[in-house]
Amino acid sequence: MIKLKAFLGYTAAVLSLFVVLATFIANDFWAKEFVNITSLKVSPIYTGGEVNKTISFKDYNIKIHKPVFQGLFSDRSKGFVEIDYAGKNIPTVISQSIDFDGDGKYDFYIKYDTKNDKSEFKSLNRNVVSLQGVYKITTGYAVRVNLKK
Amino acid sequence: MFKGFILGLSSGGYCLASCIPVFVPYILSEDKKTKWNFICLSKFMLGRLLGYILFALLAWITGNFIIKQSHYKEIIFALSYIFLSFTLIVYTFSKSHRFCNIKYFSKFSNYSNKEKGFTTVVLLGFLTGINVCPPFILAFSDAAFFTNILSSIFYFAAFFVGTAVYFIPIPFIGVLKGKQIKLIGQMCSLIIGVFYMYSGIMMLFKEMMLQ
Amino acid sequence: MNNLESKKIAETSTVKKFTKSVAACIPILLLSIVLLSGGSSLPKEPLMKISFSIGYVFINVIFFLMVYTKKTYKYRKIFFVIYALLFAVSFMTNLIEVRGSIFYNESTFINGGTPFCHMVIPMIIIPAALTKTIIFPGSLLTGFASIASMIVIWLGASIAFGRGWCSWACFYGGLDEGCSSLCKKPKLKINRKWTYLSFAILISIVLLSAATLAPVYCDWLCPFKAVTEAEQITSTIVLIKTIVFYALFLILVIILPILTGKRTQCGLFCPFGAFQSFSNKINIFEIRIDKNKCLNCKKCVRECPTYSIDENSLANGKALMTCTKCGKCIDTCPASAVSYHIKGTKIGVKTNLSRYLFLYPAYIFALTIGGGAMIKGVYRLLKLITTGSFF
Repeated sequence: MIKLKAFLGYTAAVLSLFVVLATFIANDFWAKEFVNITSLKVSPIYTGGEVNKTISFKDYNIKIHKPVFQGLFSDRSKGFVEIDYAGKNIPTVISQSIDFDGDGKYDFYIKYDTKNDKSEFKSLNRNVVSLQGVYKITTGYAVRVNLKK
Repeated sequence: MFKGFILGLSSGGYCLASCIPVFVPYILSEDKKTKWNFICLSKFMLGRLLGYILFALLAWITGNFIIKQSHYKEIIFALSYIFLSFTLIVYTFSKSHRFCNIKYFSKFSNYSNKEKGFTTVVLLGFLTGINVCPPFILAFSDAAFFTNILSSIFYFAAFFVGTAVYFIPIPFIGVLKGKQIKLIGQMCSLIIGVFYMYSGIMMLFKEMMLQ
Repeated sequence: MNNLESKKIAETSTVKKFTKSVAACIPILLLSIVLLSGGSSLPKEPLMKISFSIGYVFINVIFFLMVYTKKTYKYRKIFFVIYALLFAVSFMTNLIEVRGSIFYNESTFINGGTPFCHMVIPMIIIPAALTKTIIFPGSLLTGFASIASMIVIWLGASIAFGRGWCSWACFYGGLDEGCSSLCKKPKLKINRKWTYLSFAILISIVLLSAATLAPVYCDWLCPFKAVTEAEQITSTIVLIKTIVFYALFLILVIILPILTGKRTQCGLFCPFGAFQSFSNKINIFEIRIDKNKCLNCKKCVRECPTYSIDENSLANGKALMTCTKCGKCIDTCPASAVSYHIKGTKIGVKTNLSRYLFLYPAYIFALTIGGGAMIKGVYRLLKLITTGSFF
């Protein structure tokens, strides 16, 4: 019994070396496997959530994400919706009324001067609270608007 | 009433998430057996129920004013966070005045341990109960249809029982016992108390600025 | 036996010892080339070539000295401190090169440009289990320090050497270890009960992160924001947070280690360290004390930098679960009673073999995770010296 324990102990100790080598040499493989097995994604609080609708213009497009109300067990009462302006030639002044919930009625109006970083916001829906911010991202600009349920 | 119970069952997870940071450190620092922890839990839930009923009464009396006016709602939440944090911090020091060398705390908490234990846990439950969550608001919207207040209260009680189911596993934390666990629980209470104090002050500050 | 003969015997044994040590270093000599170059060809740029050579020589000399002198702690500490300093240089300069600044804001989060830090791991577990999402603004698979790759690295370390992460892999630990070494005579003694603070912080941040769906420790308590990246100060709240970060860094990483001679951040505050302590329960390696040899001088209790040996654990012949396997107790024990031990084997028997079996995976891990950062750090410093700029 003692000899068996010792044998197992030494075997595990030697295997730890291979664990270390596998961790680094096959890191990409294990990372992809980890994502496949767990199906984990980055929280929509950071990514802005799934894209619901894309409106294409000549030189740019507008991606309207699904509203995010993520909570631990169930949705929270406060959340946000993200609108991405992406493309090579985004207008210097973004001026748009947005319908994010697809009910045919505009929910808010946003005007943003990309040069002066000045924004105007008007809520057209009682569930739209305020403008959280306009953020410069790699593909263009992200507008986040605070919502409530 | 059955509808209230089902609503509580479907949304109790939310209540659990907001209550766990308060109740778990308390259980750890009490360092008691699982059976005693169930008694603690029932006191905590009593506090929560009182919080719910008080809010329901307030809302019913003011004709739903408190719930609809988000400004007043936010101020009540902010104040409850501040009182909650105060309770947690005082509880931590009253339990560990020797360790922290704050001798004069024993003069302030100079009543029997049993009474102190009852008050603290009910107060913690009450203050977390006041933090009204979306499921509660949904329940209230339903309850507002009742013509008499007694029916509303019964509806809320059923909703409350539905949410309480999720709390049943918590007392089993009592299997973790020892001086170290007790000390860790006390430190946790203090840290979480400071966090809630900050959250409450920031919320209050925000609402006052908005006004 | 005359003097000449005994001199000859001593010389022969030194040569034998040297040869044995060199032979023991061969696996590291070969593996380090592969692991440091990432399996690709060696760098062509002259400055990078020099940096690579410096890094390679340094890493292998350290290992040789560890093996030759049989002193683990002294040389591991040199490696660890230099690693931490060069990591800070390479990390911050990399951020400036890629992002334009060491400061982050909401744009950085939305872009998914935040490198994943191991400190976040305890906070993401409950939200990940319940919401299937990771509450961290990073990239899952792509970019520098992606979430999945760092989690795999952490898993590998936990299986291989448990809380040894804190003394062999952590990119921050060398900072407070370096400062603790500056203490020649402790001027302050901290009550051992404060070691439970790290566990209390762990539980608090896990519960609060689950309740708020945000990594609370990173938002409020991480002292290492001072040497990595920090939030752009655009409001009073962020200013308060920045003051908290720098104050914690100053107190826990610099001042207290200098006054106490202990790794106060790692031993008293770090919630990841507390979390990683649980992996010591399943890890095959541990520190054990041979009670037959032990003189009960309690030097190991006094010297342990993370308060991981106390009188009770000494009486039981083992270190506490918070042991980071740094090797200080082994090196300072006057009776050589303390050693690296493999669970299931006899205590005090074949200690050399156990030491080697621990040293290889631990050092290979350290050189892989740290070597790259060290080489890049040296490169940036050489660039600064030769051109006046890091870039």
